[in-house]
Amino acid sequence: MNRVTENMEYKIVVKIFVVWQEKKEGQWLRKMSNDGWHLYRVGFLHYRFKKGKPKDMIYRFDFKYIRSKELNDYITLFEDTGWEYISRFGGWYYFRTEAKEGYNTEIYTDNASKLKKYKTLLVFLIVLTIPQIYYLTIMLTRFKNVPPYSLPVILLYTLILSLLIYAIIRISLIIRRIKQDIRE
Amino acid sequence: MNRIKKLSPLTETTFYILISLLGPLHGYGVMQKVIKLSNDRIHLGPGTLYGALRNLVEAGLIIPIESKDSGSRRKIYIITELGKGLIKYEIKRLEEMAENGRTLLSKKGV
Repeated sequence: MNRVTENMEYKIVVKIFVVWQEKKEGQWLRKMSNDGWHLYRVGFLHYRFKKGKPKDMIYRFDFKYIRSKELNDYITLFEDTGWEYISRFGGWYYFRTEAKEGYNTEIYTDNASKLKKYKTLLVFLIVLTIPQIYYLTIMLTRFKNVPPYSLPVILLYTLILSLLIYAIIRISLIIRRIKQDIRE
Repeated sequence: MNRIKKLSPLTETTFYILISLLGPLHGYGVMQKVIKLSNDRIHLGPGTLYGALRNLVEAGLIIPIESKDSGSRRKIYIITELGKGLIKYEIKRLEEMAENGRTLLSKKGV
């Protein structure tokens, strides 16, 4: 899905990346920057870009729960070290830095902290999934006086649930890989 | 002492962050000091550093101090007595490791 609203200076691109596609999302945003379209806001299913000079920018995403009074410290630390804070979407924080030879382009530089990021994400996904399982079970068993649901609704729920469970599996695999790296 | 034992062993990253905070520094200062101390070997990413600082504060090993310059947006940290105790404990542990390794290697004539 790729719908584009465009004028001279700004453009909105409707696009979906799912949690296990961080790398793909980063590559796409980098390509956009190389074409002179720099991300300035992320929203539900869409990205907003501003036209500027083409630049090779590296994009990185952090997943975190941050209390609003700590947000300033968090962003300041990134900005001090050459990262630009762009936008936030849910628990995701978007940053970018210019690609330069010999400069660090990772926001996580050891496995222990990388592991923590994905564990936080996994817990979030599990918390999101449990109620869906509950609702779907109710629909399927037509528990007590719940009215019979139409097939499309049940199918939609099954789809959402499958997506969530698939996400949990993908993130669990990332976690396993990091754990293996730590042991080696 | 028990508390210190529970916090040991520290990761390399955490150890370097902790020893850089023997004097007051803000996050960016810590990052630069760790690069210098490790002879350009350890470059901390901001995500890693932010998480590590938060963990160290929660464990009571460092504390944020009030900035004299009230206009500054940056939080400054310094090590606590517990943090200093942990560094000493870690140094002993690391020395023991190095010493044992060296002795056994030389016995084998390597």
